[in-house]
Amino acid sequence: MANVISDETIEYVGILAKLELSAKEKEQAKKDMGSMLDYIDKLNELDTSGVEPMSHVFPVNNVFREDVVENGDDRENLLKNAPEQKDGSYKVPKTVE
Amino acid sequence: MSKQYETVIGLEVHVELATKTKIFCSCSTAFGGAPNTHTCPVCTGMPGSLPVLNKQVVEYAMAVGLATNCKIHQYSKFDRKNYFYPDNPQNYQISQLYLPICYEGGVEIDTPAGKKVVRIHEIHMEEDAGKLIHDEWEDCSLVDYNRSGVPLIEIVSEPDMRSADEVIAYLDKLRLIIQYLGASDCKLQEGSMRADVNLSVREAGAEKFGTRTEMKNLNSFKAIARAIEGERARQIELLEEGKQVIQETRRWDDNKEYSYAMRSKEDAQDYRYFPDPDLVPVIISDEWIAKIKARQPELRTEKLERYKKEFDIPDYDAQIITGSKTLADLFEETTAICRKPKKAANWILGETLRLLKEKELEPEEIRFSAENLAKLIELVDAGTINSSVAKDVFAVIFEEDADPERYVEEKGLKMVNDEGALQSVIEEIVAANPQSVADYKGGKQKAMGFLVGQTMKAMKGKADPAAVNRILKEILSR
Repeated sequence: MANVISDETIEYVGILAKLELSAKEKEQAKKDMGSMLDYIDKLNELDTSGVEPMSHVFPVNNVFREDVVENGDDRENLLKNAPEQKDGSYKVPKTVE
Repeated sequence: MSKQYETVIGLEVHVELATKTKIFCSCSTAFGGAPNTHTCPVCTGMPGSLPVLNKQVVEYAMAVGLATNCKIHQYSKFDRKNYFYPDNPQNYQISQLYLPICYEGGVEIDTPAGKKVVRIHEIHMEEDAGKLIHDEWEDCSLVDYNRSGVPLIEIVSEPDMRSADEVIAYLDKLRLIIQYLGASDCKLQEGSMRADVNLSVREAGAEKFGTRTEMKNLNSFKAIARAIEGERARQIELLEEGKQVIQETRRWDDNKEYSYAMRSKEDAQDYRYFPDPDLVPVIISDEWIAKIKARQPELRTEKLERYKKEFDIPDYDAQIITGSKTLADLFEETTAICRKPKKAANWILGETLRLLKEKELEPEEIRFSAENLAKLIELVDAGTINSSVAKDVFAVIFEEDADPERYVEEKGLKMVNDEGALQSVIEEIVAANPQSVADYKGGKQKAMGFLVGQTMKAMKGKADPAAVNRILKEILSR
């Protein structure tokens, strides 16, 4: 494997993804990520200069809605998905700015 | 302070667009609904839900871009900005990083040193987040997603401003353009226009920019001006003490007039932007741009010139009227009805502004119709009521949008045109005030005013002041 992922990198990626990884999982993740980057390196061997980066695979553009209100109040149903609720709101651990 | 410092400011201005529905779903954007009553699977980030772009958002963004001299990216797309925070149920905000809809524009502002262009780096479309309320009773926060998915444009300026005054002038310019376009009401207090201030200082004459900080939570022009002064002073003090300014986000507390560090660059967010696969690219044709351009209403600068030319309104007055879309609309509608632009302007600049100031209201809060103001102008012009009665009637129009014709009728405020009756009232007043009569004859002009006042009082204000003056003079000269 050409790409070696450091402990710091895997720690950082874990923080960004809000994942707590065990020592074993970290080792596995380092390996997986390394091989992914190897694959990307392989792709990078292809000369793509002058080729527009593609963001979407389907040749579809300009899908719009008209500005008309169609949704009503469906709070009761939506809140069924909330782990916790209070006063018609989603209840979450206290956040500070 | 021994050295001279220059302040360098760039702004990120968020404007909530005046659409009826959210940017990616057909939930209402109406303000003030009960928590989570304007939500659906899309704006609460349910897995498998599919966002579909509101066409009106694209058109408003284009309109603002064109009116601020921006170029349009005719191939534009959306990206995901990834972060975890409960106000954002998808764990990413849909925004535009790589190909924002508008770029490389600018607006001209007036400064004491003359006109100056503040360049606009880009304008992009994005969605607003939900609102977090910190519960008073329990150690938890409550989330309301009614604002989640409300369309925003973010207007990013270049660091071209050098003082709080320039910042205010720039914001005011943007506000007026956007209000005239009808793309937003741009109320800072209500958060439909928000400005983040990026500020650094450098020694006068220095080439390089200093380290900047970003300030958030600025919800009035005054708060912005104070925050700029406060942050400038804080940074200069650090530099004078030989310390470094740290690149960080700070939250302005307008009550304490001090900013607090929110997060610094060390723990800066790594947003890992990537194209949103759910939203297909937006391709904007030349025809579409032409259509939006053709639809552009008359903006402030053109209106100002037209008022001066067409209605012969002085520059200063025209500045004030066009300084608020509400006032400009009121002026034009009133003028269209009564065909008396000067009088319409006088009522707006005089009594309307006086009452707004007295009641601490903004022009947007005006509740009376142009019809009723036009009727009032006609009543005065026709001599049905005199100007001092008109002021009282206007106060009622201002308060409750009263119909002045009916009000004048009901309250019996019509001017008394019966000269005989007026003559006898004045005779009585003259007879009852021999001292004033003597004073007047002795050359005291003031005594005349007193007698006029007494007459108006006896007539309950309903006499024609010109007639009172004339008759009084006749009697006194006998």
